Amino acid sequence: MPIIEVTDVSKSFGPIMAVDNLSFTVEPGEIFALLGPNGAGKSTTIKMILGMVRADRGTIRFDGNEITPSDNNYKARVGYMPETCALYENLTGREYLSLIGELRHLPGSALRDKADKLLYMMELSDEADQMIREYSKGMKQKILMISAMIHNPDVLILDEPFSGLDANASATFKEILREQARQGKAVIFCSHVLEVVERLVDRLIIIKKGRGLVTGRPDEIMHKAGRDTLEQVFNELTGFRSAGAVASDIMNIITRQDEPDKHER
Amino acid sequence: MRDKIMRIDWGQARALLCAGLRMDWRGSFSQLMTTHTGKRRRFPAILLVLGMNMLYSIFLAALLDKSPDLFTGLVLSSAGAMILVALPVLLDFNHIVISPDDYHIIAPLPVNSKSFYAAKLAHFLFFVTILVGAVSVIPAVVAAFRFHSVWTALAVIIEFWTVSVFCALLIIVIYTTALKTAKPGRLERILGYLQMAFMMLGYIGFIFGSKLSLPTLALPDVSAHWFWHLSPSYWFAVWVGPVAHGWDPAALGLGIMGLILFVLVGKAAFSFLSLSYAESLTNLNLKTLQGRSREVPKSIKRIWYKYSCPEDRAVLILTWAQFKHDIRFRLAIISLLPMILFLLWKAMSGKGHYQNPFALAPGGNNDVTSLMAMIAAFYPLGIQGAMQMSKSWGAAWVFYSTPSDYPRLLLATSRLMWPLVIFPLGVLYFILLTYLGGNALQALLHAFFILSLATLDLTIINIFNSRLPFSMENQYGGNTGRLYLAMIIMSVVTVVPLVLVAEKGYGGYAGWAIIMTIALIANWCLNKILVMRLRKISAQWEFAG
Repeated sequence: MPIIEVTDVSKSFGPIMAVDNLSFTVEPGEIFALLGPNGAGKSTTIKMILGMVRADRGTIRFDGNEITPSDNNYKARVGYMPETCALYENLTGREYLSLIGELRHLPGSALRDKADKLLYMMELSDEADQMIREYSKGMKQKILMISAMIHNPDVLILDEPFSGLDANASATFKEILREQARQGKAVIFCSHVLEVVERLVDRLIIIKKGRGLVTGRPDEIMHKAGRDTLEQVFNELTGFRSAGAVASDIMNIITRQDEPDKHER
Repeated sequence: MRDKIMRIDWGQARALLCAGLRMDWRGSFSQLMTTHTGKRRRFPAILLVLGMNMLYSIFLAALLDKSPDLFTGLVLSSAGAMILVALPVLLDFNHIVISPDDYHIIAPLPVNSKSFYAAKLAHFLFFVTILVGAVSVIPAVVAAFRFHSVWTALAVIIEFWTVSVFCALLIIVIYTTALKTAKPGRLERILGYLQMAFMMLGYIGFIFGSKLSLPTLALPDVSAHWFWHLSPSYWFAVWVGPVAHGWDPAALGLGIMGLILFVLVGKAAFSFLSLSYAESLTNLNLKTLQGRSREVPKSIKRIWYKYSCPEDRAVLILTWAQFKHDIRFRLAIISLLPMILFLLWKAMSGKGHYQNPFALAPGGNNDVTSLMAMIAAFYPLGIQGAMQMSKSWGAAWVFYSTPSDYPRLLLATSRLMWPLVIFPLGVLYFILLTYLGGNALQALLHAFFILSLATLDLTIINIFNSRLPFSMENQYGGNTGRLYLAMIIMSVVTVVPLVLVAEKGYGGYAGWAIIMTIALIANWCLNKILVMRLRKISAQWEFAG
């Protein structure tokens, strides 16, 4: 039985259709990726799964039950890492984790112990009492990752988790995701790094303009499309010309000799 | 090649000014009201500020109407206009001058200091001018009718603009001088003191202004009192003096001094506001961010954990961290402190005139009690208003993605007002009222009544304007808008019951008990309404980031 079931979900913001009749499922123990070009509706889909944004149409089920934005039992079993490093930057890393712990109703002493150990494992012990504003992007990502996992969620939802990470941290993050899946937890994430997606995920969906184009295992999708890499399939499905052609056009515009405007002559 | 006059690249300056104005306009869309469906009505807060300024300008028009001559009317009314313009400048539009973000964005670009300055000054003057516009329309029309000349309307507008611009430029010069001269370690404290001093002048002006508007009080003879000679409104009004009094050499001297000061202040502002100044601000911002947090004693932590829920603790963690490290939040809190100083001064000088509502006596007045009521209402409302905004408002996703209870979080911000504001104020009021009235029990009971009105204010504003802590972007005009909204609620909820009590007295302890019971029942009912409303509207909320 799928742990997350998205059925015919749509969402629009004014005249803009962000998500259009999207459906997919995620099983326990599965790593599932949402792929799509910028503005495809991936983040909106994630926010709807989290109950942060309401769907206009369709249903989203967790463990067979339809979720509502005020369903705190569901939120208690989900961990989320947002795309942008949206953090209260005037808090220290430790204070931020205390805040998350309180909001998740975690017992104080256990929370402190867990936070200290996780900060150590993520190599943030020395910076734990510095304000988040002073952190690098990778350090902020680590704090977000800790805050997403600290309550041992059944579903981990991550929006661009590898952005800004160094090679070591990126490898650690990937292993964490695999380990989560091995323990029977579901992992849903968005990423633009297609090589990582190809190697890491069990299944994926490619979205364009809010519509699901294809769903399945990476090797299945590549095989059906007759391509060698996921990047080639992605480019073809999303209607992208070759990178070389686009780059050439951009260079032509940049290097063009601009005539001054009449009034500036 | 673009023309450069006075070493200013006017193309760059125009681009910076347009971008600044556009951002201000978009950023001014405050969400002061929450509808029953939980949707927030977006409303430009700047329009509320302009509307309220226009409303207050009716008092200025009344001053002009009651004045024996145009000169007296101009001195008094333009002093009021100066305060009405300075308050929003201090509360909201100081970001134009003290924005630490400028340097990050502008420094890597080929923009020279003079162009940057020109854009900043034009931006600042634009806001001052529209604020003056709102304040001066009604007084100008009234003056034209009162003195039977269209020229007097023009005189009013010019006088209001000159006085307000002078005052605004002076604020720039004082801030920038502090940035240029103070040591980095002290700078933030100095900026805090400056904000306090400015706000003190503003509050005193407001209180003085409200006295002038009383119909029973005669207007002062501005020429006879030396302190009016110190007011910029006097210096610039001198230039229309001959209409009323003929040439007075002493007044003319003050007028010339005013003009010279205007030029000097303008010149100083011109030379101080530059990119190097923006760099100092950025450095100040970085300095305030360094340093480690101090641990709270374990005994206090234990008590706090015992009597608080997780939402209370979450709100406290956030609030304390913002207070320690967010200069905007801290300045918003610091701005309120001068009222306490003013209250202490008023109480010290008011002994013997205090009207004890338990024992009414002829000749007594309610100045101290009114001020206490104002503070008791302003403090929780002001602090709670400041607690709604943050530069990191996007981080409010944590509230939406965690199993936190929205109504509890909202109520936690109100509950936090008890240990932080209401209880300390209660102790202060008890001490002051005991000192003034000599009876500790009566002082305690009266303090209770004033504070019960303050909690009513807080509940009512929560019903109209509820939002999660630090979940809203800083909105230009929002602070002033909330201040005005608080003033309206406070006038109805606090002032009316207090005036009634002051006029009639409690009629003994039984009377106090009845009045207090009514206040408590009203508090209980409104709290029920608030909780019901929060449950209803919070179910509809969506993350706006």
